[in-house]
Amino acid sequence: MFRFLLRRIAGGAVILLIISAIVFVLFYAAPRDPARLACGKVCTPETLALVKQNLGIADPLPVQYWHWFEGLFVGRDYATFGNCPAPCLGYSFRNSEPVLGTILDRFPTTVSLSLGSAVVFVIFGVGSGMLAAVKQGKALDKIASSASLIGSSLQIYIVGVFAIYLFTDQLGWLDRPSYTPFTENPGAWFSGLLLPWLVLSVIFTANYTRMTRSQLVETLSEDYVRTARAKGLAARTVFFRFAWRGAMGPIVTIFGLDLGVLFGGAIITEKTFNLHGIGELSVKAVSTSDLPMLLGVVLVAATAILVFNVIVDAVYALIDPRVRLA
Amino acid sequence: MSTPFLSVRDLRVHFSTEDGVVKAVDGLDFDLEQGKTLGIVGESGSGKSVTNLAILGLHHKDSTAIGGEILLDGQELLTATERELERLRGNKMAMIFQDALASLSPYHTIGRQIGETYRKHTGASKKEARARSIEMLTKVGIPQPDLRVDDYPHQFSGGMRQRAMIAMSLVCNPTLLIADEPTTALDVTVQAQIMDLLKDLQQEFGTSIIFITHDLGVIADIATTSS
Ligand SMILES: Nc1ncnc2c1ncn2[C@@H]1O[C@H](COP(=O)(O)OP(=O)(O)O)[C@@H](O)[C@H]1O
Ligand SMILES: [Mg+2]
Repeated sequence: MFRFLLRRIAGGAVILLIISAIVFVLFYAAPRDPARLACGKVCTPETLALVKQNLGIADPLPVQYWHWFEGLFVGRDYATFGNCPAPCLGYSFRNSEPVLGTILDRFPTTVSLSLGSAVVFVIFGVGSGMLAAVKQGKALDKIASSASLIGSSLQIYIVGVFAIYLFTDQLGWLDRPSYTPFTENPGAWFSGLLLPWLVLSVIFTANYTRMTRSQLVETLSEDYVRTARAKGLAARTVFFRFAWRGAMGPIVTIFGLDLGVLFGGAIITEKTFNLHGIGELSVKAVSTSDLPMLLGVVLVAATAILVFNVIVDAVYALIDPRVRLA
Repeated sequence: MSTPFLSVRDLRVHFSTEDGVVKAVDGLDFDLEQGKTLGIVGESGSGKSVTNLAILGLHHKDSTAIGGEILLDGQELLTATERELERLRGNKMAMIFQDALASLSPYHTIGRQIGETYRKHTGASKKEARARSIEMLTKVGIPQPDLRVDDYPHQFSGGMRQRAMIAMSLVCNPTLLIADEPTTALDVTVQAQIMDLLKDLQQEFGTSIIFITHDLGVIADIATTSS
C-alpha cells in the first residue's frame, strides 16, 4: 500500500510537471500578448516593457518557467507585489490577486456543487439502474431506460434556465442559486445550491442509470450468481452480495473519474447559475490571457483527477481481491 | 421395485427467445433411486444442463415454459414456490457446475462460500460455519485446509477449485447431487481424482448422483444406470 502510494504520487508529480509545461508553451503560442492587455489603451513601448517586467514575462520562456516552478517550492519575490511565499502560484495578470488565494476562495463553491450533485445522482442513478435491472424487460425497466435516454440528451444550460424560470420565478419553490459557505449558514448553503445540484445531476443520473443497469444485467447472468441461487440463498442476498458486488467496480471507477472532473470545475453549470467556482475562474483566465491563473486552475483540475484516480484504484482493490495494488 | 427417489416425467423446457421458441427439452422421463448414480450422456447442446437446471428451478420464470412433472422424495418441484425451492437448494439438492472458476464468486473467500450455504440452511454461527468449511475442505482433500479456507478462488488450482465446489455442494449432506460435467475442464489425472472423490463421498453419505457428461469413458466409470 505504501509503495503503491509512493509510486502514484511520484507519477502524478511528473504528469503535473508535463501539463504545466504544455500550458506554458501553448499560452505563448497563442497570438495574444498579456502585457498588451494589461498595458491599457495608451501604451508606449516603455510602459509595455515595464509591464512585461512587472508581470515577470520579460525573460525567455525556459527562464520564466523555471521561476514559476521554483516559486512552487521556495516562493518568489516580485518587484511590484513583494514576497509571495511557497507554494507560490504567482499573481493574476488581470487583477493582481495572488492566484493561490483566489483558487482557495473559489474551491469550496466547486466542491459543494460537485459533492451535492454526486449525492443526488448516485442515489437516483444507481437506484433506478438497480430497479431497471431487477425488472428487466418489464414496464419499469422501459420507463427508466427511456427516461435516461431523454435525460442524457438534455443540455444543462437549457434545463438550468428553464428550471430557474419555473421553480424560482414562477412557482417560488426553490431559492435563486447562490453560494453561501456552509460554515456561515448551512441552511442558506443548502437552499442556494439545491437547484444547481438537481440540474447538474440530470445528465449524470441518466448515465448512471444506464451504466448500473447494463453492469447488473451482465453480472446477473454470471455463473457465480447462478451458483449462489443454486445454494438456496434468497434473491435479495444473491442480488446484493453477488451481482451488485460484481457491478460495483466499474461504477466506482466511473464515479471517481466523474468526481475528479467535477472538482476541476463544472464550467457550464457554474456559468448558468452564476456561481463563482473553479470552472468560471478557468473560463475567465482563458478569456483574459491570465497565464498564472490558468496554470493554477489547470493544476487544480489535473490534481483532482490524479487524486481520484489513486482513490479509485485503491477502492477497486478493496472490492476485487484479484486486483493487487502495484 | 420401490418408488424412485427422483422421478422426472414428460419434462418439457421451452425458452421463448427473440428468434422464437427453443424447445431445449421435449418430453423426457427418468427415475433415480436413493444412493444410486444416473449417468446422462449426450452431445453438447442436447439439453443436459437445461434439464438439471429445471430440477433445481433455476430457469428464469419469465422466458421459460416448463411442463411435465418432477418429483423429489414425493415433493412436486415444478409447482413449488420460490421459498420452498430456496429451502431445498443447497440443502436437499445441490449442483456442481462445469466451470468452477466462473461458478465460484471471485469476491468471497472459499471458506465464506462454503460456510454461507451451511449457515443459510442450519442457522449456524459464523464460527461454526468456518469450522464446518474446514471440515469439508479436509474431506475433499485440500491440503492445509485451515489456511486455504481463507483463500479466494483465484488462489486455488483448477482441481482444487472443483474440490472446493464439491465441498460447497455437500456441506448440508444433500440427498441429491447433480454434477454437470464436473471434470470436463480438468486434465485427465485430476479428472480421475475428482471421480474417485465423488464415489467415496457417495459411499459415505449415500447421496444420489446425477452425473452429466459428454464422455462415454467417464460414464462407464461411475454410473450404475445410464440413459
Ligand atoms: N436460457 C436459454 N435461452 C434460450 N436457449 C437456451 C437457454 N439455455 C439453453 N438454451 C439452448 O438449449 C439447448 C440445450 O442447452 P444445454 O442444456 O446447455 O446443452 P448441454 O447438453 O450441452 O448441457 C442449447 O441449444 C441451448 O442453446
Ligand atoms: Mg451443459
